[in-house]
Amino acid sequence: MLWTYIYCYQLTLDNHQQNSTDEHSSGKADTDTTYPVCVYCGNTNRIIQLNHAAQKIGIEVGHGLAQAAALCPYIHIIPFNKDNETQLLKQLAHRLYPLASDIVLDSHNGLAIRLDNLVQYYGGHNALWKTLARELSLAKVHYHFANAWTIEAAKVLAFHQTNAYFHSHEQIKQALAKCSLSLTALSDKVKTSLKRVGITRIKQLLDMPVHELGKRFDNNTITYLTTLRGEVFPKATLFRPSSYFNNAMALPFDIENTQHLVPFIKQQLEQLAHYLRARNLHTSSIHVAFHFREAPIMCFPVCSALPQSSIESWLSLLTLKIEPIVLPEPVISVTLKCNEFDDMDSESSDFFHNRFNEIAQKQLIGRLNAKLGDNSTYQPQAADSHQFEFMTVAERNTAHYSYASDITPTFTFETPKPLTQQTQICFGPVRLSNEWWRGSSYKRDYFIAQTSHGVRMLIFKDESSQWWAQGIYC
Amino acid sequence: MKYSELFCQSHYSFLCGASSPNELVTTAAFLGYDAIAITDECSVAGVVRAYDEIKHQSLPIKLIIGSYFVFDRSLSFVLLCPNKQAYSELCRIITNARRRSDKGEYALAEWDLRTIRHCLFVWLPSGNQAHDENWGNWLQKHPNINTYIGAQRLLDGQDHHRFAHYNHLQTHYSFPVIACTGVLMHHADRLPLQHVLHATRLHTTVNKIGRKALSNTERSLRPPHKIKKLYPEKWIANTNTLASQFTFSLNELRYQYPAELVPKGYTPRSYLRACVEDGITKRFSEGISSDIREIIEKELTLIAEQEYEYFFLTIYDIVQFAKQQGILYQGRGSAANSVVCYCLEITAVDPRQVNVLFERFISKERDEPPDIDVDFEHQRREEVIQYIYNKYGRERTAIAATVICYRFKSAFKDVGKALGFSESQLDFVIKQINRRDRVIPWQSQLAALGLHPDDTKVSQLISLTEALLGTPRHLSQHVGGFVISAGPLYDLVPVENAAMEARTIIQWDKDDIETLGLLKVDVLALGMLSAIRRAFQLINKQFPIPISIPFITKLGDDQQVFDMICKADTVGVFQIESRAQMSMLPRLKPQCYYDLVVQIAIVRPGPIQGDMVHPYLIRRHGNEEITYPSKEVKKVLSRTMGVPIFQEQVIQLAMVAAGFSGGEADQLRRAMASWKKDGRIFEFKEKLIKGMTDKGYDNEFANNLFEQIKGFAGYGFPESHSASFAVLAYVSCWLKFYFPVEFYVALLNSWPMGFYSPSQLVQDAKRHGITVLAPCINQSNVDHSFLIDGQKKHIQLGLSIIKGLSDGAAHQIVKGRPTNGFDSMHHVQQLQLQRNDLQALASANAFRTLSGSRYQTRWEMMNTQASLPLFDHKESETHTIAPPSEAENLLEDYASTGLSVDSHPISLIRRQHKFNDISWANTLVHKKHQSIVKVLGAVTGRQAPGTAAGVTFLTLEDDTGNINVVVWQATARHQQKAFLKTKILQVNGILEHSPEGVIHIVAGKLIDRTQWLSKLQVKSRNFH
Repeated sequence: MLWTYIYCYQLTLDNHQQNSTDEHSSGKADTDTTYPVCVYCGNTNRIIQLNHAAQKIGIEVGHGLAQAAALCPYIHIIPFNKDNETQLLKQLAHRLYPLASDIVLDSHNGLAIRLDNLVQYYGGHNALWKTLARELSLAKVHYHFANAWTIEAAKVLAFHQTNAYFHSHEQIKQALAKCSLSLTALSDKVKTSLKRVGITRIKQLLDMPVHELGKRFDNNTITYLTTLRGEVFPKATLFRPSSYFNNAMALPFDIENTQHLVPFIKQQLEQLAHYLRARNLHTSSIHVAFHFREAPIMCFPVCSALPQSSIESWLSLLTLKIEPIVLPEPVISVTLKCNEFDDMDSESSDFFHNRFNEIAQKQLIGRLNAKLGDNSTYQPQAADSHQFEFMTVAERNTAHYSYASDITPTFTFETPKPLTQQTQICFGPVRLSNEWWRGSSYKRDYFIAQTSHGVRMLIFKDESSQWWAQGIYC
Repeated sequence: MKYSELFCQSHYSFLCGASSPNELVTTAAFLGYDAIAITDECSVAGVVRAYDEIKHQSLPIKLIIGSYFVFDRSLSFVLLCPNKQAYSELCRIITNARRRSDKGEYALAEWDLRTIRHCLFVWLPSGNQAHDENWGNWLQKHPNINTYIGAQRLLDGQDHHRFAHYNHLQTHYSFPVIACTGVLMHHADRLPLQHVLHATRLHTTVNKIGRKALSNTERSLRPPHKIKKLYPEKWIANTNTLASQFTFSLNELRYQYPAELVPKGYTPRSYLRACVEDGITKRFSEGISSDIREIIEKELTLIAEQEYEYFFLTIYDIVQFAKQQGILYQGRGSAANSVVCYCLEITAVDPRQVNVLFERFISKERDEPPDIDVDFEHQRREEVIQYIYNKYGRERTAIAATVICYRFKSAFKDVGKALGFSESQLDFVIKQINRRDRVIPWQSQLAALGLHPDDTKVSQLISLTEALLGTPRHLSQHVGGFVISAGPLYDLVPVENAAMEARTIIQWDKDDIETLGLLKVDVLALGMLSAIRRAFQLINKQFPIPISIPFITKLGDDQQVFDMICKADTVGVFQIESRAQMSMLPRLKPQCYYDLVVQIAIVRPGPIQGDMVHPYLIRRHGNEEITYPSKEVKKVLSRTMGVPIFQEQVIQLAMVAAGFSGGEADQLRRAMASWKKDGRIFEFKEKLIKGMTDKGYDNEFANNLFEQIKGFAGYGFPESHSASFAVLAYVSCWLKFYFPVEFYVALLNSWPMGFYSPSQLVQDAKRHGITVLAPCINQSNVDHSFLIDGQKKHIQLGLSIIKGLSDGAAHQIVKGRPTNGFDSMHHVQQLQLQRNDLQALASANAFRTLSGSRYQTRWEMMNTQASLPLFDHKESETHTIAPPSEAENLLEDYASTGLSVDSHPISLIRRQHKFNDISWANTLVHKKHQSIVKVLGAVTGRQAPGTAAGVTFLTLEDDTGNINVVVWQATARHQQKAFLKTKILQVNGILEHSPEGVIHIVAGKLIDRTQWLSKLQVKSRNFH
C-alpha cells in the first residue's frame, strides 16, 4: 500500500485569506502582507494559525490571546471553530473526489489519499502527484505532505513537514527515523513516559528491543509502532460525498449590512451550482442561516416557484429575500444548505443555458414573497418596554393580541402627533423617563384624555409646553 | 412641610441601590426631611456611614435604622428600629436569615417573623389580592407585630390600583397607612446607574431588562412639597407621627469587652497593673530605671483615662496563648510600641533602645482608638484564630468585613456588559488599557482601541464606569480583624457567613468599627516570624543559648550586621530585601536601629512621591543644613532631620502648623486612608493651607505639605509599624550574618514567603560559600536541614521541595529508611508508595545514588512486570538508557524543584557559547561609569512601580550574581517582544555607578536569548 497524507495546517486562515482576496479582487494588494491575522482557539487559549504579517510581529503558534494582543493591539482574530474547519476539509475532499476515490478524512485538518491503486490510471507516480498537487493549488490551501506505506507513517512525515514524494521504502524509513516522537499519534501518556526516559525520536523507539517495550507498554502502543514500521495495515473509513449540499462559510470580517453579504453568498451559490450540475439536479428550495457572535442563529428558507439550478436565479431571489432583513448584530458566518432536489428532465430543462417559459408568473410571485415575506399580514404584539413608542410591535403569525399594560393605547404612533383637538384629561399622570441608552434623555408625563367626540387618546406635554398625541384607544 | 422617608436603600443593597448612604442623608437633609431610614436589604452595612456623615456634617436630620426584607414572592416588608431592643432584635433577625444561607444570600423563616416584638413592621403589599389577604390575616393574628402599611406612589400607571388596594387593606385590617417611596437613588440622575446595576443583577443588558426596570425616576428622594401632592394628608401625617417615635441612635451602642479576662478579686485596672508588674520583672530583670518607671506610670494613667484596659488585656491573653504554644509573634501599631506593651510581651521593641514616646502613638487629644496589630507565624496563625473562637465562642466572635468595591476593571466590564458590548471586546480593551499611563487617561486610550468617545454608547460607558467606580460590590472578610464582645455579637451588629468555611463576618468594616468606637484585634500572619522561629530552633539544637527576639535586640546594634546591611547583602531578610530597598541601603547606610525604622518607611510611594527621599539623604550626609520654619515643626521633624517620613509626622504637622484640632486631624487621617476611593482629602486642602499661612508659614511650605499628605494618602507608612518591622528586619539580618546556614534553611522551610524564590535563595546561599545538596532519598529529611561535615555546614534540601511528592510519602520515606539508607530502587518500592510519589522522586533525581540517572530510574520503574508478585525479586536491568545531558538535567531540576544546585542556566549557556564581550555580575564593579556593557541573565523580576513614571526595573540573575537593569518606557515599547516574553535576556546598555556603589545598567537593546534554553521554567516575579 502507498498513502499520501495532506496536512492542511491553516485551513481556516486559508479560507479567510481567500475570502478577503475575493472581496478585494478589484486589485488591492494581497491581504496577507497588509495586516496580521490569527486564528485563536478559545478552549485552549492558544493562537493556532497565523499569517506572515503576524509572524513578523513576533506572534507564534501557541501564544495566548493576551500575549498576542500585547505584541500587536491591532491584530485581526478569527475564532477557531472545529466544525467549520471540518466542513472546509470536507469541501476539499469533495473537490479531490473526482481525482481519487480512496480518501480518508483525518481529524479536522488532514486527509489521506491512497495512491498505489491509482498509479496505473495516471501513468506513473509523478503524473498522479502532479494532478493532485495542481488541484490543491487551485483550492488555495497551504499544506504539508508526504507518502508512506501506512496512513499513520505518512501522517507523521507530513507533520514533520517532509513535503517530499518518496519512491522507495528505504527513503521512507530514513525520513521516519528523523522524526520526533511528538509527531506520532501515541497517547500523550506514552509520549510523556518515553520523553521522561530520554526517548524523543522515532529512531530510538524503533531500535528498542520489542520485548523491552512489551514489558512497559500496552497492545495499542505496540500495534501503532508496527503500523509505523509498515507491518500492519489498519482499516480506515473512506470518505463518501454527502447526499445533500451544505456549505458553511466563515466571513473574513463581521458584516453588518446584508448587501455586503451578497458576494459571499454568491461564492456559495457557485459551489451549489457546481454541485447540482455535476449531479444533473436542480432544486426549488435552499436554506440560508446567518450566524452571529452573540445572537441566536437566523435561519430562513428561500423558495423558488419552480426548480432552478443557475446562480443568477438564486442570487436574485436571495438578494430580494435578505434585503429587508434587519441584522441584530454583525454576521460572522453564513451557511447554505440544500437537501431537496429534483432531477433535470430533458423536456423542461436544458442546464447549459438560462431559459424563460410560461411559469414566469410564478417566478414573480416567488419574488414578491421573497421581497415581502411569506405572510404580509401583521398583528400588534406587546413588547417588553415601558416606552409607548416601543410598547407594541408588529409581528407575523401571532396568535394572540395582548397589551403591555392597561393604559397601552390600541394604536401607538411611532412619532407623536401634535394635539390639535380640545381634550379633557381623565387619567394620569404616568411619568416615563425614556430609555437613555438610545442616546437622548427626556422625561414625560402621559395622560389619557378624551375629545368632545368621545375619542380617547394618550397625550403628553413636552418641555416647551406643546401637547402631543402618542396613541389612540378603541 | 414635614416629611420623613422610612424606606430607602443605599448601594449597600448590592446591585440595587445607586447612591451611597452619605449622599442619601446629605440630600435628604438638604431637601428638609425630618428623618431618613436607611433600610438596606437584610443588612445594616450602610448605616454607620450615614451616621458618621450626619455627625461630621452636623446635618439636621434624624437617622432611623432599619432593613428591607423579601420573605418570598408574596411578602416584602421593612423593619424599623424605634429603640435599642428593636435594634438588637433586627440584628438577630438579619443574623439568623444570613447564617442560614451561603455568603451574600439570606433566607427568612416564618419563625423570624413570629418573634418580632420591638421592631415596627412596614408591610409592602404585593398587589396580589390573594397573597395580601393571606398575609393580612396572618399579621392580624399576630398582634405582637406592630404593623403599618407602606404605600408607594411611583407614577407608573398602576398607582390607582395600588391606592385602591391600600384603602381596601386598611379598611379590612385597620393597619395605619404610611407614605414611603422605596428610595434607590438620592437624585434622579442616578437612573442610568441604577439600570446598569439592575441589568448586572439579572445578567442581562439594559435594553433587555424591559418592564422589570424602573420606568421613571420616582424612586429618588423627592422634595416634601411634591410628596404632599402625591399622598393623602393622613398618610403623610401617619408617617411623621411614626418617625417621631424613633429614639434609637447608634451612639447608644456600648461595646463591652469579655469580662472573663479579669480573674476574681481584680478590677481590669488592677489586673493590668499586675500583669505589667509581672512583665517588668521578666523584661527588666536587672532592675528598672526611674525614667522607664515614669513612662510606665504615665502610660497606665492614660490607658485608665481612656478605659482601654480590656483592650490591652485581650491582646495580652492572645499573645500569652501564642507564647505557650511556641508561636512567634510581634505586635505593631500605634499602641504596640509602648513600654506597657513591651512589659506585656506584646512587642519586642526595647524602649531603652528606641526613644519611644507613648503619647506619640496614643493621643488623648486626637481621641484615636489604640491600634495594635499582632503578627503571628503565617503557618500557625490558624491556631490562634481557633483559640479565639474556642475561648469566646462563635456567638461572641466574628471577623470584621471588608467592603469590596468596584475597581476599574470590574466597573468597566459590568457597565460594558450591561450596555451590550461583547465580553471578548471588553476583555481585549481592559488588557490593552494602561492604567499606569499618567499622560493619557484611560478614557482617551479607548479611542485608540476602537471605542471612540464621541459615540453615544462609548460616552455612556465612560460616564457610567466613572459613576460605578468605588461603589460597593459585596462584603468580604478582613485579613484578620476580630471583634470580640461580652455578650452575643448579634445584639450589636448582624453576623453573616463568609466565603471561607466556618468563618463569620460582621456587616461593618474597620472604618465603621472605628466610628462606633468598637475595638478590633488584628490577628495577622507574617512569614518572616515562621522563619525566625525555625532559625531559633535550629540554633538551639546546637547551642544552649536562650535565643529570642528580645535576646538579640538586647545585644544592641551590631556593627558587623549593619556593615552587611550597608552592602545591601540582604536577600531573604525582612522588609529591606526588595530591589528598591536594596538600592537605597548603600545610600542611606543605616548604622543603628532607628536608621532601619527610617529605611523601611522611606522606600514607600508616600515619601517618594512627596520628594522626601533626596532631601533626607542630603541632610543625613551633612551636605545640607537642617532648618525648621518654627520650633513646633522642629519638635515634630527633628528625629527625621526636618523631613517628614512617617504618617504620624504629617498628621502632627497638620496639628501644630495648621492648627487642626484633634478631631480634625483624625478626620484627615481617615481621609488619607480612603483617598483613592472618595477623594475626600481635597476637602482639607483649603483649611490646611489657610491654617498654615495664618500661622505665618509661607505658601510654598503649605502647598508642599499638602502634596506630601496626598503622597502619603493610601501609601503612608506609620512610624509605629515601621518600628516593629525594623526589629524583625534587624533580627533577620543578625541571623543571616551569624547563622547563615540556619537562616537559609529556616527561610526555605517557611516558604512561600518574602520576595525571593527558593532558587534565588539557594543561589544567594551559594554565593555566600554554602554548599547546597540536592534532595536525596538517603540523605534528605522531609524539611530542609543542614549537615555538619567537619567544620563546615551544608544545606541539605528536604523532600518537601519536590513537586508532586505527597506529604505522607515524604514522611513514610524518612520513617522507613534503614540506618544505612536504601540500597536499591526495589528496596524503596517495598515501601508501597504511590506511583505518583515515585515518579516525583525520580523527576527530582532523588534516586541518583541508587540508579545513576533519572532516565534509568524511570525506565526501571516503567517495567510493570517487576511489580508482579511472581517477579518480586531483584531483577537486574539489561537495557541501559542513555543518561540525560547536563542541560536536560538542569531543565528537569527546575521543573521538579524550581531550582538546580548543580548548575545555573547561565553557566550552562556559557559552556555552550563563546562570550568574549559579555560582562558578568561579579565583574561589573570593575567596569567604568558610563561604559557600554553587555550582560546576560535569567529574568527573575520585572517591577514597574507607580512611582517610577513608566520605568521598569528588571532583575537578571547570572551564575555570579544579580544585575539591576533599568528599562525606560520608550525602550520597552519599541522592543516589546523581548521585553515581555524573555526568560533569558541579553541587555546591551550603559553602566552607571552611583557614588554609593550601586550599579545599574540602563538598557539600550534587549535581545531575547530564551532559545538557548527553550524549556527552562525560571519563575519571574512580574509587575506585582
